[in-house]
Amino acid sequence: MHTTEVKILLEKYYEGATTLPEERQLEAYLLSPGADPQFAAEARLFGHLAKAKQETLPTAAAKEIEQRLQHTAPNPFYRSRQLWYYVGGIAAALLIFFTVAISFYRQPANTHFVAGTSYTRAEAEAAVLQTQQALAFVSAKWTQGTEPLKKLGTLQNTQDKMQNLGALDRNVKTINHSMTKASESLDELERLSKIKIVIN
Amino acid sequence: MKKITMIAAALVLMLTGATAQTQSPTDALFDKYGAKDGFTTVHITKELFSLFAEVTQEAEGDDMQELNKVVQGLDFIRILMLKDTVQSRQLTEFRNELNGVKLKDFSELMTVNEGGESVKFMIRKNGKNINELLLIINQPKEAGFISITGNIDLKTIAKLSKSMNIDGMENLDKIK
Repeated sequence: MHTTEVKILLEKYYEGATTLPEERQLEAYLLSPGADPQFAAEARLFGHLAKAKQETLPTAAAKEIEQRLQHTAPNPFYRSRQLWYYVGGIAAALLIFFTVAISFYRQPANTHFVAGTSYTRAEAEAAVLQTQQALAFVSAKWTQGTEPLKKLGTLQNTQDKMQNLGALDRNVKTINHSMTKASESLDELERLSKIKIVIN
Repeated sequence: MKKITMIAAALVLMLTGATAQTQSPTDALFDKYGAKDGFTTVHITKELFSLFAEVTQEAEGDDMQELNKVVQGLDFIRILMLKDTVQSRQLTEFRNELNGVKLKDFSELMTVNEGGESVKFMIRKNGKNINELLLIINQPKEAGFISITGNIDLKTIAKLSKSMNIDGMENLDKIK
């Protein structure tokens, strides 16, 4: 292998970019007796690594570790994790329930909810007062605005009454006229009767 | 399929119409100034009106009965008033905005002017019924409006309050 090629492969190796065949090729070169002495350090590293690969755990020790792992008692907490979830859920539900219940019973004594609503009696009473005042204002202004129209209406009524009086007056005059006529007729009768008397 | 699309379109149109009918042009003003300092805002809903009988049952007098009669048909009352306190510029700006509200569905009933105070009565009708009565109030030191929506009987309102001595809106507190 050419040294330049070895340098490139080493650079790639340290960057972790080499493929397995390249690593094998590099290892084979560095561990070969004909390797360039300038790569002595890398050769030692690869030598250690190759040695480490070949090391195996004694069978007895491996078996003992395996047995110990299998016989380790499981942590009681993890074994009953499901149970703890149930207990925690029930506790949270109870906590929420009691918080709501306590806050409900701790309402100030003077606060009475109006049946079936979320308003307090004080709020409802304030609303009545506000409505009363607002409508009274509207009513007062309405009356103020329509008052002149009412006066006009009254004037019209008065005019109608005057017209009625006029008609009455005319009727009275007619009656007077009729009465005068009747009176004249009576006078005439009386005159005639006088004449008659004179004749007799 | 075509039929279903047409029915859906008609429903959407009806809903849009209904929404437009219930919206008042003063809503924007109420939303804009409702929470600001210096403004008196009152918004009384239909739900509260329904409680009036319960709340006023202990109160005596014909005026309470009349009041109950009037409010049973109402949807809500909204009041927004601004008093001239420190910032008179704020009152001028608000007054301009109030008088510039477009009231295209409304017709003017009358304006009562007295001693520098002007109260304009506007109504919006739905067929023969009045469904909104709007009073635009301009006084020398305060301005605002009262909007009453629902089934409004002006005759009963007119009868309401000869016994109540109300000249201004000074007694209104905030309940929103």
